[in-house]
Amino acid sequence: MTGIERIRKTFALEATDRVPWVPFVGCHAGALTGATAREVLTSEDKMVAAMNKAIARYRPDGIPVAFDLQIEAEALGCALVWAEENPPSVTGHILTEGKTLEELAIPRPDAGRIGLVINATRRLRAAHKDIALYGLITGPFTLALHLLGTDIFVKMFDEPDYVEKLMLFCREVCKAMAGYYIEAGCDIIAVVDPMTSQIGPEQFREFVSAHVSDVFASIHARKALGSFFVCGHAEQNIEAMCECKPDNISVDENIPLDFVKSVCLPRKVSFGGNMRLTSVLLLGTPLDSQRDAIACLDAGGTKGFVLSPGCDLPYAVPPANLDAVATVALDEYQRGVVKALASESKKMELLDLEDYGHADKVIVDIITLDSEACAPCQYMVEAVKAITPEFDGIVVWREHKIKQKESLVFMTSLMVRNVPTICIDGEIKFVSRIPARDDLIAAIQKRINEKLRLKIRNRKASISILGDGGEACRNARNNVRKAIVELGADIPVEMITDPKLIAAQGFTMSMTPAVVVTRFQTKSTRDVPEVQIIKEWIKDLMQ
Amino acid sequence: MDQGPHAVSTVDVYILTGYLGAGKTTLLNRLLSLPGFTGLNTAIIVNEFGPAGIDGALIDSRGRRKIEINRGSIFCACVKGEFIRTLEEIALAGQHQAVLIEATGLADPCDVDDFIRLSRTGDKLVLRGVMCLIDAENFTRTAPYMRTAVRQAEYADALIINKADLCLPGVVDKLSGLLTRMNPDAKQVITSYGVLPDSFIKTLSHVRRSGAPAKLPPAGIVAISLTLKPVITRTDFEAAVKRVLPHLLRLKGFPDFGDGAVTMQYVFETGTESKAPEGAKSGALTVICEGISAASLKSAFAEITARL
Repeated sequence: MTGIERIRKTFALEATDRVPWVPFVGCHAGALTGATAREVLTSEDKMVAAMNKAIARYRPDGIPVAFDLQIEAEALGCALVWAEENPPSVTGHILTEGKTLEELAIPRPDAGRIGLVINATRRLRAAHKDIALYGLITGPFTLALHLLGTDIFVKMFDEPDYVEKLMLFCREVCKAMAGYYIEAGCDIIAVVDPMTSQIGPEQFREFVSAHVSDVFASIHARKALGSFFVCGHAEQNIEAMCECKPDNISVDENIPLDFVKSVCLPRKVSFGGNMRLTSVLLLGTPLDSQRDAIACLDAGGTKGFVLSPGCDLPYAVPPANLDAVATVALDEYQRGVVKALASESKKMELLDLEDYGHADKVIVDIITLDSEACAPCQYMVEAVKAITPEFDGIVVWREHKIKQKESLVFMTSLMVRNVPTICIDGEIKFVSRIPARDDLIAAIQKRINEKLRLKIRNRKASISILGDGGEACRNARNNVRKAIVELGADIPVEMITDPKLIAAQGFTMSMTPAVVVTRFQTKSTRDVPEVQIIKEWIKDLMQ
Repeated sequence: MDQGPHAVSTVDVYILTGYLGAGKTTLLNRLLSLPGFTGLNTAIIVNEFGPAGIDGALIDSRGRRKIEINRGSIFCACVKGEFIRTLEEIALAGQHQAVLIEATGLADPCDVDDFIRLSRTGDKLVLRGVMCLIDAENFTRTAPYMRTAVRQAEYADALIINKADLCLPGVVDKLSGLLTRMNPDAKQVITSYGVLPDSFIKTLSHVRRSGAPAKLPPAGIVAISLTLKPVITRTDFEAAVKRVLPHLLRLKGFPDFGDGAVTMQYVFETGTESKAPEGAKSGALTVICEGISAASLKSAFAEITARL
């Protein structure tokens, strides 16, 4: 199923293979290509390059071409103020600056930046046949606010006729814009009208409904799909919004998804949203983002729901957060992993892993998600099993299935985030990929060598048995070994049989077997110690 | 502000919300000249840019730092991140003892509280008070059409009722009564030209409120528009108005009592009749009430409403 197909079916409330993922990437795309928000919204080439990057990286089923609710206002003559990391803002409301409503004309496709977006749409359409392109237009009420400013709120009471005339003009602008974008190749027109969250259903039906309904009717007449976007506390209007007959309603975190679902689905309208933009996507971690995405997926269900952020993604959202969301959006297995992690991790006490690396053996832990059900996990386990005989006696392998509570503790302690994972002596070595046999052997061997080196470095003493190597010597050595084992000490034992070496230590053969305990104390490393200092060490020794 | 030898130096945060068409700059400047801000290094975060801003002279002479957030975009969550970053910078830099966040316009009050919660320097920032500007002349006219302005009034610790001089006597009292019903715990200050008592900042205290406003009955402030029958009697009209009078905030319409359309306007209970302007839509009527539902309001006027 292609992205477009998936979204079409979702909008039609038909079954799909998975929930579609539509990241609202606007000026954020600039961050992916090193362009500012302004650059990406004012240059066709930069916009296309940035959106191509976003599409390649985030693997969406659909994506907006440009997220800028000031395009129409600008084309009509409103002054804008630009920012590095935000879309621009309207500062000049032309109807309060001397222009009259009668003087305004519907903007042509070459006005302002409309042409830029049309051309970008064409290029993206040609490059990406399988994903849905969203053309975003400013809804009539929000456009009316751009043109009139907040005076509109007083006029709604004092001069409702005027407001009605203004809304009529704005709706015609919407219809024209929708036409331009559909003709350029957009599959879906999103009518974005955040200011409607300011009014209640009574005023929505009085001032907005008829006009937005007309806009969606014209979108359908042109064989495209329509989505109605709103931000803020607009729950009071969802029902009225459904009456305008969009194919889809998209909301932000201020409206609970289960509420939207309960209003939309019975009215045969699909819905979407509503990941938290600031607290999670901007300021949170990839794992936080995944959890939020999963919470949305759980609330939205599998029919008629589109997973997306609540609104235009802030410029500075860490791309890793969106990568993480894409991973869980596209892959059911990954969702399972995150869910398992999420449920328990906070309540656990972490294992004390300090002694972990000190055992005589090298321990290979394989952390899996219930390997019978998971193919990659099974293969991981097989791979380790297959090479363990090579290291007979030295390597021990254990599997930890994270459906079991202890395994989760283990995982959290080791800071394992992905499964399947192989840890060697407590260190993560292979994540989510099954290592080739030689790689695994090499990694284990490396650890064994490391352990030996550590052993040597940590050595504090040694015991030597000096003699001819005969029975008495062997018995002495056995006793020494027994003593060491019983105490759990880590001291090497050496048999010295070379008569010259024995003589050099001051023993005659008749004095053997001799047991000599030698203590080591490292005095300095790396530097060349001063003579004076060495004298002090020697004085200590002589005491 | 905690200044003990081992205390972390904290930053007092004040938030100004509300919708005020004109006079905001004056009020803001007056606010900043009150005890509580004077003698302190205060940073001001304003959400508007352009010519109408804080008095330049005030900035220079008192060393205040004005930070403009590009917030002209009156939408949703877009600038939360910027606000939070700015607050963090101020908290970490440690040069300011107070911050005044001018969040007038259509900022949702819950959002504004979020800024502090979400900033990583949250423990250095102490929210001292949320003040809401009420435009005495326009509040009731615009309340049904500006939900966040109503939420701001419901959420504030203090309500500054400005432009009292532009209202008829009695209107401010009625408005004060309405605001008390909306937000019984907030202290109210009635002012003109932004003049505030010296004690205002010092006596401000913050009460944490949950997100959903709860004081008014679910109906809140509602507005309905309807078309009257082509000709109605004055008696019938007055009877309809009387039915909703205790709840009435505003009314404006052009009834025809037999001699052509006239303009009828009510501000709270006071009605005035005047000539209808050229081109007025005869029969149009808008009514704004609080404490009754839109349905009840409609039925109160049902007798004189035109059949569709």
